[in-house]
Amino acid sequence: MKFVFNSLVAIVCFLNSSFAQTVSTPIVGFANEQLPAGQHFFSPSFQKASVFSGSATITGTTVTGLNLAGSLGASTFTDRANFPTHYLEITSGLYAGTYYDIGSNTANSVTLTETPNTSGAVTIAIRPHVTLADVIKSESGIGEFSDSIAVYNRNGGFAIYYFADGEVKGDNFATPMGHVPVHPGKGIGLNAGSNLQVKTSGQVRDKSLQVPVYPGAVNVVGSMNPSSGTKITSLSLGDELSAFSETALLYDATGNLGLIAIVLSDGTSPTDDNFNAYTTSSSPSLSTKSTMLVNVDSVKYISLPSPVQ
Amino acid sequence: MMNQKNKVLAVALAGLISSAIVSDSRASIVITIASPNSSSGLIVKSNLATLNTTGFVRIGKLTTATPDVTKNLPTFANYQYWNSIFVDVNSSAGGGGTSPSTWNFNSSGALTGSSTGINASTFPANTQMWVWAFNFGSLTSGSVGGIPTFTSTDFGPGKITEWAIMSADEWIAPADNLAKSLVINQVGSDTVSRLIAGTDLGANIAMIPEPSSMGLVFAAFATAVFKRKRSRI
Repeated sequence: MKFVFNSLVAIVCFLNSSFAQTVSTPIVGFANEQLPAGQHFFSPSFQKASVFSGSATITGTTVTGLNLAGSLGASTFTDRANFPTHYLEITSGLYAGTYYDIGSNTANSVTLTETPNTSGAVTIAIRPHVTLADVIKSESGIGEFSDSIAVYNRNGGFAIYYFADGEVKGDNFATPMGHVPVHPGKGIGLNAGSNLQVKTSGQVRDKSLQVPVYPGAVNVVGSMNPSSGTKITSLSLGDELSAFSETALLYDATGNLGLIAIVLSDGTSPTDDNFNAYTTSSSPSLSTKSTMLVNVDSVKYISLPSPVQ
Repeated sequence: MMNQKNKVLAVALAGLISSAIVSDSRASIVITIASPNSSSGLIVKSNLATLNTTGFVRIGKLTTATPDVTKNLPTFANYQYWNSIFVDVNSSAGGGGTSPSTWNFNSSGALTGSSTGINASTFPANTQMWVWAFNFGSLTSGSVGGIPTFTSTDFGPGKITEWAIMSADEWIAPADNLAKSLVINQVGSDTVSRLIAGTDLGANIAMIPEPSSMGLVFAAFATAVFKRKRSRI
């Protein structure tokens, strides 16, 4: 069950004698997902607070006009693989909700690891990535040296991690790997010998998210809604999936990877595997614990609605 | 806390289990056939008529990368050959997946639906998938199996007189826990044709008849080939 605490921090309004001003703060929450022993795909629902938000200018992979403090680039370990620590999210316009890893930064600019789909004047937010260390902790009940964590990359590969001596390690059980990012809207694989409690916390998204999915990759996509189900008709699968050919499978969280639904597209609407269009009433849902695996022939962006819009 | 001896054992085992969840013996895949209408491509009779609730498809892989394409006509001898190299996704000896009733041609000649729970170790990622369509017989839907076994008496007038055997570049098995949809109008666009038995009509694929009927239907589809505009998604 997930709990979203918004009573104290959701919206604060105040007045003074000369003017009225509304100040809103992000909704924050906490979730404790009970996952039975077995196999799961799991996607964290929360994001971390931004370290910068505002206007910027994109030229190629360079984003300027920022006011930043500290390093936002990839980690710089010398004894283990390095990964991005922060990402830049476009927050307005046609490409709002798309995001890109940050490779390096200066005090007033960042360099992205890929060229964004947009350029010029934009508004952005920069956030730290949720990491494996944020998701898998000792209190999760994960079996040390035995239960595995799979993280899938965009090229069709994956890496396996374990929990050992109180932290996420590589498959040599020695190298700390808790810094591996879990990208927004994406999920990981868990193979657990006993029941898990996966506790996560953070901000609830207040804008839609565009989750990239890649050909040849295991694209695990969750809903980013920590409190209730998300109907697949509210996603962009009907528009994004190529008619008749590209697929999404919805899996449950029983530990058996039970198949909830097979989703295709007729070019306009999401359909079942007999190509009957799902309606709002017949649509299957991504629960707070279930995920979908998307198989595409070219890069697509699956739009996840904000839970609070 | 694990002692050092057990850590060493765990490290040794890691190589064996590190592919857990993505490629272990319990992983499964889903195969869907997409032939709901002419825009996705239909499999039709050699005279271009739709297969109206007659016939079905088998879906699977071949045990050889170089099948004998000369054995493409629908005879019992050729059936025995293809049957010996065809591994079905939905047989207990094959992928162990479910058998959907919608792999029988419906009244519009359409095919849809999925086999689920296919053993991913039998159909690992990138396995070339094949469709073998018959103009006679039916698949008995159920959890696994239901694929008819034919004898020599099942071939001839009123029974099996036509079939199609096809694949496409795009028809490769997905990675563990993913699905692949086999779209009929993807057949025929390959660099090296994988339409072993059948005629590419553009979007649709026509079955080929048994040898004695071939001359009778040639004029029908030859005319159609020139009239139809190739349409692909």
